[in-house]
Amino acid sequence: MNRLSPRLVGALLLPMLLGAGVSVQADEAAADGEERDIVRIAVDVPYPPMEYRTPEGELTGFDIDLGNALCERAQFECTWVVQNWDGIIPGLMARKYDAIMSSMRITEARSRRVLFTEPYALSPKVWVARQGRDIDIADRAGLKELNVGVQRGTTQDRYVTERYGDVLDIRRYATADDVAVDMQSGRLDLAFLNYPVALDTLQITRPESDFTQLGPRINSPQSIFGKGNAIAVRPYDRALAEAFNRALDDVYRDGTFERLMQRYFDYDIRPPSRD
Amino acid sequence: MADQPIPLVINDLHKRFGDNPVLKGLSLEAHQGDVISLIGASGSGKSTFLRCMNLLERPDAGEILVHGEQIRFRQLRNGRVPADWKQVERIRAKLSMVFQNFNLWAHLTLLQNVTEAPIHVLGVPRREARERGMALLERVGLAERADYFPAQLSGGQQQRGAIARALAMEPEVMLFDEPTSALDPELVGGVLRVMRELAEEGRTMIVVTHEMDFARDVSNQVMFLHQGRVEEAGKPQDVLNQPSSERLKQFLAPNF
Amino acid sequence: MQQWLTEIAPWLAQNDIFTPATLAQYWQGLVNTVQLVFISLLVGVVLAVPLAIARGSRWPWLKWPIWFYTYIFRGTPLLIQLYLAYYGFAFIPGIQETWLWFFIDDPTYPALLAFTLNTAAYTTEIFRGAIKATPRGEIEAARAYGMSKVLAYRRIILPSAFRRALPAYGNEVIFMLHASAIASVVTIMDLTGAAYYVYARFYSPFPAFIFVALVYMALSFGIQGIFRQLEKRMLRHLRSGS
Repeated sequence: MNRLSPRLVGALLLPMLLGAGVSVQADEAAADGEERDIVRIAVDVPYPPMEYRTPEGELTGFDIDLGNALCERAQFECTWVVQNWDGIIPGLMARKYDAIMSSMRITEARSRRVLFTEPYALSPKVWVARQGRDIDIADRAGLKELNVGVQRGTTQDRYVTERYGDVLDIRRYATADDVAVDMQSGRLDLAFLNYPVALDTLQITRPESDFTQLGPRINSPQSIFGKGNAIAVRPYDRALAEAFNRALDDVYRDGTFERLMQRYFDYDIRPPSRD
Repeated sequence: MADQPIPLVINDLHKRFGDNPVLKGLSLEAHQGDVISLIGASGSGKSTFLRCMNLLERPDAGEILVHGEQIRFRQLRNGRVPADWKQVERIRAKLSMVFQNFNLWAHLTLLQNVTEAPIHVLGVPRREARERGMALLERVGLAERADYFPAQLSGGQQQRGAIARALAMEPEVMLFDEPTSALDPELVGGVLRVMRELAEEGRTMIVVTHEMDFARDVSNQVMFLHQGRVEEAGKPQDVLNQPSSERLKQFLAPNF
Repeated sequence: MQQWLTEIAPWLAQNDIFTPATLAQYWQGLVNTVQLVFISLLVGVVLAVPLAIARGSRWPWLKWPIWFYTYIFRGTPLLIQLYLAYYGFAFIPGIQETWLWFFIDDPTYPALLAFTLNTAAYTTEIFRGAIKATPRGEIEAARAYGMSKVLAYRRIILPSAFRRALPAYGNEVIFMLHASAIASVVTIMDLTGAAYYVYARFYSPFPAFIFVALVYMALSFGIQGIFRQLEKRMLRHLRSGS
């Protein structure tokens, strides 16, 4: 989905960062004694924990760490370019950078304009109910008379509409925060939320929380939730996409992905295709 | 005749606006068929006097008796108020007023203006009120304008309509507050003609007016007010033709 | 409705978005919007008449609370009022256990409350202005002909004021229709909610919202037409000449 991003990006910091990145990479390249392709990757900050700045102003986050790991595998000399979300695809087309790695979800509309690598992450969704409520999601007949809150227009909305539209009373809210508030007010029996949002707002993993997760986390079917986040390149840069894909296979296989994932998340964000 | 209660008696009426006394003990007796003209310079209190009679202004002291019934007052710390508004409303219905600016109800047609108070105040059946209303409009020469709204009529037509509205109440006394002052000169005649006819059929009328010819020819009593007092009163031929007070002489001077 | 749907079925087959299912969604949205707006306006007018009269009262303890109420409701955004009605009451401790919860639980009642109080505040001020503009002489004439205060209000002041208020009130009705689009933020499936739904379903904002804009526009023109006819009939008396 789209995401909000601050309009003003630290454009002043950009040359500094680029300079630093290049010099480090150049040193490594010199040490290896071989020629490396330069790949510039665009990212929009802040969107923690995927990409943000440390208090010192340095770029960090899951996307950044994973991106750097992939570049290392693919023998690329990578630099990060901070770019506003609104102009992030036009910038790619204008050759201001060569790839986008900024929690961009694969959608049909975007696929017409850019070439996506294989997906590398997909945040799961989860059913939430008040602690102690005896609700079984699998028991469709038992869901009658109950209502569920979702953020309207999201994949969660689509999921409950298609799967549970006939039994549950679906209430659609403008924001996920509104859903959480109405869980607290007691108007809602159920909520179907993005897992990180449920963690953040309803604190479903805390023992003292009033709310709890029902059933397993959900990230399929692909027809609704999509494939996940991927790196975007220009449509004709097939070789670059292939190189990223091979690097992705490597980081999955050797445990680097899992190590990075555990640094930022205490739940699984691997897309279904990697399970 | 002698046993009949007098339509309107006013005794020693006082009225002040703030610190400014405007009526300083005025009395008046209107017998059946009397036409009393109140004349005087502006600020003499003649209009206030008239408006006190139906309590559009609240007199501070003095008695008002309509057809033998006295309006009751109640003394409050800040002045005197009517003791019973129902009584006031009943009495007002017996004293129809015709205003300087007509004051027809703008959202009602002429006929509706005439039937409104009879239906809703007197409880006259709608049909009967309409028939009588049409007859009255006929009388004042406006039958074919019955469905017009006031804004679509000339000033003279509006004032004749207002007179029909007053007549529809079948009042004990009709109060006229400078009925021709707001009219263009060419429209005054029509209104005065109607008033003359009413006087001739024996209606009791009190008329605040600047029309000296009307006062002289139509009324049987003239009261000249000056600074809230009656300066001179009597039959019109005496008062208007041989004024005794200096002030009345001055007031009438342009007419001689 | 059903027959109309089969009529346009071939055309519907040509596109993905305006299927019978989504049109039914829009229809339900239209019904909800019209109901919400109509009930709010109706109750709002009923409240506004006595409030407008009392607002002109001489008694300060009657006049100033009403002034304060209209000031608050006209001085704050309707969206905030809607949020307060919807979320505010829900967090009064223990309210879930009272009979009031039945009304608070359902988003329709809080929305009706907010909309009604809002339009009543505006309508009160519209009527107040119209009452104040009644010519003094006409009121005086009513009193002089023996009408009580109540009768004068009923027969002269209010009928005359309502006519005068008609154009401003027509604007208020259209304003409420448009303002009702925010009902969807408290999960009511009104016209705008239906548009959001279709938008989300097909990821195509333009057809979804342009269609609903056309529906709102048609409703607005309808309302405007009704008020123009009413004004023609009710405000005849203001046109001089014959």
